[in-house]
Amino acid sequence: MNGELTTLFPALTVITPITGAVVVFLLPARLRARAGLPAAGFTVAAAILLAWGVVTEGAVRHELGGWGAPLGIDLHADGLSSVFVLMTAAIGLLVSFYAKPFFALAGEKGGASELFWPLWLFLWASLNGLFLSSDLFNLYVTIEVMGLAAVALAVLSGRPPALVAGLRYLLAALGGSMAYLMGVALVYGEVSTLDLGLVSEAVEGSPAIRVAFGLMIAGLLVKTAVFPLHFWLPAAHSSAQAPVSAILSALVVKASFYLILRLWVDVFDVAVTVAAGQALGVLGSAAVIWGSYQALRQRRLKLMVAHSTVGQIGYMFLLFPLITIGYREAADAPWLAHAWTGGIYQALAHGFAKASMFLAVGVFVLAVGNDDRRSIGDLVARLPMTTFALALAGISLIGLPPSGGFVAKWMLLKATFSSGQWWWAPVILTGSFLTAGYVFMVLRQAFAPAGKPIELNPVPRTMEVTALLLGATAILIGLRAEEVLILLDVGAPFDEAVEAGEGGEP
Amino acid sequence: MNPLEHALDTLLCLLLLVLAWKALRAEHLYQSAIFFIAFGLGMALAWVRLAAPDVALAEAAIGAGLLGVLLLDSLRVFSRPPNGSGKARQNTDPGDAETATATTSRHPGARATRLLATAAAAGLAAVLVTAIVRIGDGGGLTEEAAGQLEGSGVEHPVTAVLLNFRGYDTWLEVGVLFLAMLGIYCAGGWVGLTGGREPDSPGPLLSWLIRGLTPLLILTAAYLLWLGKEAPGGAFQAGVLIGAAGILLRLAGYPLTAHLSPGMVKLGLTLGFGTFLVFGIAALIPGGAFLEYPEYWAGEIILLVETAAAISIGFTVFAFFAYLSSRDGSPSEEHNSKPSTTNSD
Amino acid sequence: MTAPVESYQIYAVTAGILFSMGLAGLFLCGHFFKKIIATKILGTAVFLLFISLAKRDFVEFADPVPHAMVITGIVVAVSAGAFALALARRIWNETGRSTFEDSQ
Repeated sequence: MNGELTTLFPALTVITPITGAVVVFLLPARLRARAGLPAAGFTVAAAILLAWGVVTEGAVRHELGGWGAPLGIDLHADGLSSVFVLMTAAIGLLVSFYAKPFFALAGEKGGASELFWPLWLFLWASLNGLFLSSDLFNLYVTIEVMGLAAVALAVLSGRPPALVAGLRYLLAALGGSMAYLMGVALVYGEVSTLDLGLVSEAVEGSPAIRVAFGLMIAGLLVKTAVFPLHFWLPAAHSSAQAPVSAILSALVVKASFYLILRLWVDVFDVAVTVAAGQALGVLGSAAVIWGSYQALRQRRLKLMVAHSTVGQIGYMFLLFPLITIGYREAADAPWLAHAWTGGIYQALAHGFAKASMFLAVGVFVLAVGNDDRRSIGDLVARLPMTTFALALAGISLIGLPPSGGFVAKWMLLKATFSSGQWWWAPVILTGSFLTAGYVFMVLRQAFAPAGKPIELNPVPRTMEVTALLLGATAILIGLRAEEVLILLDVGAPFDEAVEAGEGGEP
Repeated sequence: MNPLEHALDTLLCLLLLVLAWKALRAEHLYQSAIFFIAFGLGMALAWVRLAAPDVALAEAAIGAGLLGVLLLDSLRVFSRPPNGSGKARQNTDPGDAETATATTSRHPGARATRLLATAAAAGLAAVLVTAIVRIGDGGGLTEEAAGQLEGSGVEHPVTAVLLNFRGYDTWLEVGVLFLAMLGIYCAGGWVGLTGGREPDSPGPLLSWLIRGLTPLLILTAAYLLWLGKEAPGGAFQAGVLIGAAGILLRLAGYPLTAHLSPGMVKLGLTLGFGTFLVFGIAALIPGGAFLEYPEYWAGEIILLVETAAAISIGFTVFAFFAYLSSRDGSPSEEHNSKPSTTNSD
Repeated sequence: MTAPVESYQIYAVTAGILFSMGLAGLFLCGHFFKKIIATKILGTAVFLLFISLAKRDFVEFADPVPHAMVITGIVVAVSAGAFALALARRIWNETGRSTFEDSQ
């Protein structure tokens, strides 16, 4: 279609992890962890190939089965999808390194932890598949694959709290995906095509399309856990095992966010209204305040980190009101690119920071035996690397310079003022203050002398290192914004690119 | 449009709405399940009325059939006291399953919530109906599908879409079945089919009947599979019949799972998905797209892939049932005491 | 869309009502078992809309693309339903809980 290069790369990013999942599943249990890491490595290689292809050739396409839209299903990669594929690759690889020793320890405790690798690789494939799919119904299938794999991972420990949280997660996810699919049925009935590109050419703001768009967005909001539809998230993310929590919080909720973004700007832009944008902004703001406040109140570290996810997701939704006012009339308004980049940067920075935080807390839990905030006294001396990781991740979540979180929040702030929608600014600042509150509370505990000397369980070195690397990346992407922006620019919906590094020095 | 048919359709739709309502509002789980299965059968009629025989078959076999069996089997579980091995149990009175089914809840805000939710649902229904009534004339992809049917390797349009035009979706869907089994393993806390409780025999007559029925089911499955090329039928319907044969044999007391090695179980679960994958990747070698079948081999490849998929689907469906029905009688010793690394309470 | 009403429209409208019922049921039903049934009704409603619109696009056969999508959807929905049942059964067996009420 429209002269885009047809390549193998988009298909490879899906085939590679899925082949890995099948092969790993067929291997005897003791070989799985050993085969899991190479499979993760190949998946990362495929992601890098794809991103390289997009940077050098522009957006690329793969017509599955050789049919092409509208009858067949296409995979399509532009800058936005490549950025998400790459983020998944980077976080996925580090979490995989962490998971190997983690499940070597957990494997002795029963449950179904031998299934971690096949499930995780399957989930990875579905994430890539979702970022690349150009077909509304195929997106539904990938969403369901993702949902089932995510819930299976969440209940891997087999413990009752995880099971209850997992069932709630599953039912919420099913409700959400059915709402999405109802929207797809309406769209197909109206325009008789499923390909995103063809749909965007065909749709008009008719009642059926507006209702369809509303249903799809509503369903995806449930899956993204946007306030007040976040009810399933804290329990599900906090009762899962550490690497799984990291995957769920850093990656899985981003996938549905990505899809909302894609539908909003690329497919149904005719159905978008200013009021809808403001509504998403209000939900996002409520999430920022509520999630961060709840995080501040939690005693259990994993619950705190999970509630913090609710808050940080809220920031991503501030992007919608900012890109919606007048964007069809003036695609070159200066704040559009700022808001766009800020929202996506928030997704990236939160991904790295949150993965790091869950992994760091996992290290604490392994060392101390529980995740009560008060039992981590003096850990700065005993586990300095992990405490440092937590601090780095916290800096990015708060949005202190020079972190990735800073770039995100700074760009969003700039966009709120230059677009005249100043009313979002207090939300951004309040969220940062609350976030600073819980981050410092944890750090203070880690620095406080322990009441009585505690016996720490040994923690494998790899686990500490991966948590630190993720935290460091959350900072680093703030310093190296240019590289990310070059990729993000390919096929971007807004004309004016943000000058590289602008957010880096305020 | 024939007024009699019109009345028939309206009546069927009203019946469906009533059955769904009853399934959701029935006081006892048992009634709920029965109404739901009746609803599934009514839907099968609706599919026939809407000229969708493939969907009718799939709904009858998978929707009403398999899920019905699983639901009824679950009723057995929910209607007896839980068997948690002396663990921290909620203060629910054992045997209280019936009271728990009452949909009214006791806390004070519940009534308001219920009213609000009902009003919201009514509003949503109004919006949806308005949108549906005003939907434009899409035209569908019927003509595109008819035009490309020649090169698909099969003559039945639905099979062409499933196995060729949109084979990627179908491949992922076989993957979903596999994933669901992995999920059920995780939920059960134990991986593998063997080692659970074996079924008791239901008596000689029924066993005899079931054993006689099994070859018939397998034959029908093979026929459906073959038929899928030119008429409604195909891998999913055939697969479920194979699964049904397995479930019946199990109910007849035949210890099927005892004969399965762990390797065979794994192979059974991945065969269909793997075969799809192998042919998909093979298409890349001559420079084609993933899952692109060369035109003159397409028919054969599709039959092969469908056969593997049907076996896998049948096996997975059987595994759903066998795993669930063999697990929940036995105390789960794998995970009763040792705290996991992620302490949660 | 003026009269006369086509028969596919009767089913399409039913799909809209069923969808709302399923959604309300998912939200309001207490017992896991009924919540799972509600998700099934929700799914069936969506499939019904697809198929009734495919009937509209009948040329020499009904539009096969929605038919294929619905078969895919049925399998996906049943798989998810089986997984949900497995979770609900295990929760009941382990803790005696059959609803989400008074959780956490």
